[in-house]
Amino acid sequence: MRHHRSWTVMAALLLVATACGPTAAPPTGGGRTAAPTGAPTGGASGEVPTDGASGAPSGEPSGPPVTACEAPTEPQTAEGPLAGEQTLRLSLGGEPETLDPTLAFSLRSVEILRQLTRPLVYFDEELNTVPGLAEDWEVNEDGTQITFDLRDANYSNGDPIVAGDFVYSWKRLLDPREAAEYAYVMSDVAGASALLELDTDALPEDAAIDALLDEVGVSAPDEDTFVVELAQPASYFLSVATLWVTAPLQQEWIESEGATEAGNYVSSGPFQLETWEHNASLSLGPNPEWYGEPPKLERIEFTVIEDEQAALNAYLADEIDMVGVPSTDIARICADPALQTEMLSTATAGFEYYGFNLNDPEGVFAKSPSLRHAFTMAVDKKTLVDTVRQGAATVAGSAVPPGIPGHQADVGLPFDPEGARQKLQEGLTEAGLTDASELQVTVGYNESTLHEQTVAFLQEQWRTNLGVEVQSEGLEENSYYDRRANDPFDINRASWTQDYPHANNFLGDVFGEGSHFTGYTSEEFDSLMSQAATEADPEAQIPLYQQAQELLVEDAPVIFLYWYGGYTLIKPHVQGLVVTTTDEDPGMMFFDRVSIGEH
Amino acid sequence: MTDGRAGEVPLVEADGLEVHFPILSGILQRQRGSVRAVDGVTLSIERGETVGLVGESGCGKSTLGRALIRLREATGGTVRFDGRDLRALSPVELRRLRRRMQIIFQDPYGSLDPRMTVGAIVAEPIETHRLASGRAKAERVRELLRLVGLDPGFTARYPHEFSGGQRQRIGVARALAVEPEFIVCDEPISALDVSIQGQVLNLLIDLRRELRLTYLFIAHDLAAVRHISDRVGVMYLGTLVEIGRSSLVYASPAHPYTRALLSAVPVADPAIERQRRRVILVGDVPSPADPPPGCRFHTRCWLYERLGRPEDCRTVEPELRAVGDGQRAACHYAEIAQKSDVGVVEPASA
Amino acid sequence: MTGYLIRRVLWIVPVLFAVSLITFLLMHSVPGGPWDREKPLPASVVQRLNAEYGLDDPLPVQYVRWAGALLTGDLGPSYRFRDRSVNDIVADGIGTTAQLGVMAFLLAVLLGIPLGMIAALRQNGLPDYAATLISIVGIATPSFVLSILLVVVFSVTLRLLPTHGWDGPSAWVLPTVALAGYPIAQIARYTRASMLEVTRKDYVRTAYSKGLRERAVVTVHMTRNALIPVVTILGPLLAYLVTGSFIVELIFSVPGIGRFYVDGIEERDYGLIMAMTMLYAVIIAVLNLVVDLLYAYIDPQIRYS
Repeated sequence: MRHHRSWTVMAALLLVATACGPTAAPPTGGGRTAAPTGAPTGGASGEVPTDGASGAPSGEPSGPPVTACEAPTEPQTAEGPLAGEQTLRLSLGGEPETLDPTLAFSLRSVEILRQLTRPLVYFDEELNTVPGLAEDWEVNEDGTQITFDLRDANYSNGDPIVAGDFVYSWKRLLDPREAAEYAYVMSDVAGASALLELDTDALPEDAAIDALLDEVGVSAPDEDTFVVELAQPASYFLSVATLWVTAPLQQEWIESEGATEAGNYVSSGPFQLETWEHNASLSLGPNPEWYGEPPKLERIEFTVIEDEQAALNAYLADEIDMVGVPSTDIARICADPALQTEMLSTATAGFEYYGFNLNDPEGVFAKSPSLRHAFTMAVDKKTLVDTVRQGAATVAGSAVPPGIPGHQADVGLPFDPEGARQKLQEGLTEAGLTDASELQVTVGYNESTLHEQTVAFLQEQWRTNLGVEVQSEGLEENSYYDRRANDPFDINRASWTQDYPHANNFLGDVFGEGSHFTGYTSEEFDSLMSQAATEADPEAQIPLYQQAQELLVEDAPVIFLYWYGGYTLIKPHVQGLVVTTTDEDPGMMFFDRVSIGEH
Repeated sequence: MTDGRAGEVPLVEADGLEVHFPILSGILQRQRGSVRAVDGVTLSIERGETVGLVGESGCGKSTLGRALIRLREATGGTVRFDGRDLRALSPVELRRLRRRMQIIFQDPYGSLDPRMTVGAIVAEPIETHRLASGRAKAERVRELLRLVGLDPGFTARYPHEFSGGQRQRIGVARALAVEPEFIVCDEPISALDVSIQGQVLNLLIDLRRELRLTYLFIAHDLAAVRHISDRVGVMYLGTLVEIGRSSLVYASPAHPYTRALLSAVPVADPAIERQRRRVILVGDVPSPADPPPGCRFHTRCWLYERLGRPEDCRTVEPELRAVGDGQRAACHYAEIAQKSDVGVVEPASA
Repeated sequence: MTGYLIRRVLWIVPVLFAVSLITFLLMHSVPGGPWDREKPLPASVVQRLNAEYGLDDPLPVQYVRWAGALLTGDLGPSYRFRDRSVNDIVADGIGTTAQLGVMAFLLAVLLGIPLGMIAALRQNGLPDYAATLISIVGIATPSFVLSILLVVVFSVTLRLLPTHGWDGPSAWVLPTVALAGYPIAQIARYTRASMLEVTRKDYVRTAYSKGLRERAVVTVHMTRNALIPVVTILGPLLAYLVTGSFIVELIFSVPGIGRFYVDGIEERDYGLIMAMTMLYAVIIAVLNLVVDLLYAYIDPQIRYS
């Protein structure tokens, strides 16, 4: 009793303190649009990179290291007797923008689409590609053609899933009239670039577009065979074929009025859409036509709870079964003996970084790689992770996160104040300066408590370890993205989260072909990327990615800070969770295996 | 009018009446002192008599008027109405007695409920005391309006549609609705235009005669009271300093304060105006929360100065004592004051 | 009166026009657009999206197109919720938001007015201090703090009421109370001040002198007059409750439209921003008009011509 009461008081105080924090505006905690990504950044809040409501209590980022919270990384999987009601209750960080697989882009939509659709290829627990709706596939010798053999499977409406539905769905993704945000993942498909690079200011006649779509290298020789022609070899393309945007679509259905509403939805995945009260809740039930083993869950209930604090309260009131722990509450929950046992430490494939502006060749960072080294080596990332992130992250030296083939834990510029100062001197000379005080550097970020604290920490590190006074400027979210894309600051906050679990998605897709906001270009890097793409053998492929990654670290266009992680509270009666680094809610890739134990 | 009929109980009788307001302060609202708005007033009003009551604003005359009909709770002393102790009445008895005593307020705008029609305002007391209902009530309302000189067709109008003088007539009609015996007229004309004042005053005088009313007529102006009053009382800082038949009080005022007030009244006759001596009251009225010791008026008294500031004025509170035929004044040197030429408006013989 | 009414209604038109134009210009003058993402979209996709929604047209063209559609009742597309129109989104949530606002309003009126009256009638007594305390706390406590406290106490600790949702009466309680907290206090304060002022009016003394019972004086004379100034704040208050519930909606996950205002601005969902602004402008304009008419009805001293 006593324990409970004191907890309540503390909770109230903490909550009030949070609410009164610098985010005075409505607590816009979780789940704005994340980056377009198939994979997530931990927790139900959905969005580590722009975590608005994280008023980490530590005002002093450089204070004494906080003991990171000790929580298991594997959920309890022991199967107990099953409860009578097999319902998994989850929160959604907001209304899904759409359940049209072609158009969806946010984590929360993707989490639901993972239940409602199944692409050709899927993952196993280790994120290896395994057969999905394709029973088998064959890649031709030069790696430019993939032939998928479809399994016998039906949609939830009883119609068979045929190869033509993939042809339709993939072309739809590329159709400029759909303006799908994720169209670019098709760029390796033959004929796709002509559509992706269409001059859209004067979109051609429908007939001209249809003619271009006819040229796209997807075909269905028969109902069970789907063939993809690639413009160039892309060894990672099987991973692309796991994305929700590549799921089969029945043309008649998706073009019908109100196709994505409950009652109309045609599902190809293990679950089907039962109810969808917009902005409030959404529920799924088993798809009776599902080809695989029937799910144990009778129902998955998603409730829209935008505020992460509200979601935590819902969990504490036993209204939902899982919740991402807001960073403000990590310490408290970790210290609570009852709740601590319900905590799961999760890792999420993605990284937080700060990019230098290299667009102007006369800029100091463009002129001097040593200066970039100096600014990187001056930062004590370990302390940053322990204090600002409260241990909910892993210090990163490079791009490819743990769990993705090609990950290199030991690559990266070290924290070395001494070395950093040396590099600074070299850098000043390279930049044609004589003294550090001549450096005029501004770091920009999108405003949130977390980012403010991170930037304050970085400024302190640069001040202490380099003697450089760096200015900072925070902008509102979309204004910042606009500024970063068109007129970047000297140093810019950024993040990357995975689309598909492959090294290419963390290297080539981010830094390749001069498409990065830093203006970073490296022919050597790009050539390593194309070599790796043509190399089908993983044994030979991975070293090429690693070579590229080492080059990236040496070129240092960005400061890698950390790979994302987080804590999730999970009710002990949730059984059979299979956690991967692509999860929004832990286990979401395999909810068909989850069951509810007696409680 | 006569000075009351001997042998009969006075209609209104106050004895040592006190109305003190607490001064509260601090978060706990502890009483720190009190404002002595009315501080021991003894006064009786005979049936059919009109007593005028004058004094500067803040002297407590309005509070006294309200306390006399228990619209304001007295904190000490007694008030009797027709021989009955008002302060001892139960709420029900008091409400019943209200029929017999009414008040007309100074502000003809504020005293009428802005959300009621004139008809409703006048009818409400009739309903409350169940004096009439239905057609009889409506007829009574029209009659009352006629009585005060208003068009009886105005019943459906709201107060704001009338001029100040008309509103005061409505207020009078409302007061008359219960057929009262006693009306406190609380500065009923001072808020009105000068051109209207006479009309309303005449109305009150006419009504008194027709309805055999008894008035306490409050004013801050001695001139206004003069024409209507049988007797006049003068108040200063919560106490009655002089009272007596109008003719006497005006002709030979016995209190220096009364004289000072009279000297402020302009006189039409330039000969007298030239002749008489005027004093002007200087300084502010002392706080009724902390009245001066001795005679309350001594801090502003011209006679006190003229007499070389005698000590008893500062130390002994003067009694209200007889100084003439039914005239009483609370001044140690009333006889000297009476002989002074200060402020005299007309010869004593008048 | 009819002339006045027609004039007032007609006045709303230019006001709405001005509001829409200013909002439109402000909205487009803020840097960043609907397609700016943490992970930048390829330029070709952005271009295509802009073309799809006509965002590459000159602003006057966009405004005229928007206004033209509005006249036909079409609020346009949502850039965020691409397979739903702004009409769908507004239609989905407006009933809930209105219900929440009206319930909070009724609660505020039913509690605030008696609270203020009791405080005034027992001025400086215990009820007055209690009512004053409630008012001060109510005014000083932002709705999100009150919301969180309510959740922690009634949902998390006592488990009496759900933390979120809008499924039925039990779910309505906390959001309604949280939203009504401030208005209760405000109405109570207004009522108290107004009642105290009326207490000092001569017509109240008159009423007593007429021999009326205290209850009759309070209800017939005092309350009816004291509530006139209170009514003037009720219109803006109802408008505030209907339009200003987004924090409460957010914390209690109430599926109303309040949230979309903030979300719309953050995500540059221009159609949604315009729709919400116009909706709020209409609500405020209409409620102000209603209050003015009501005012004339309850206060005979006011006549419009």
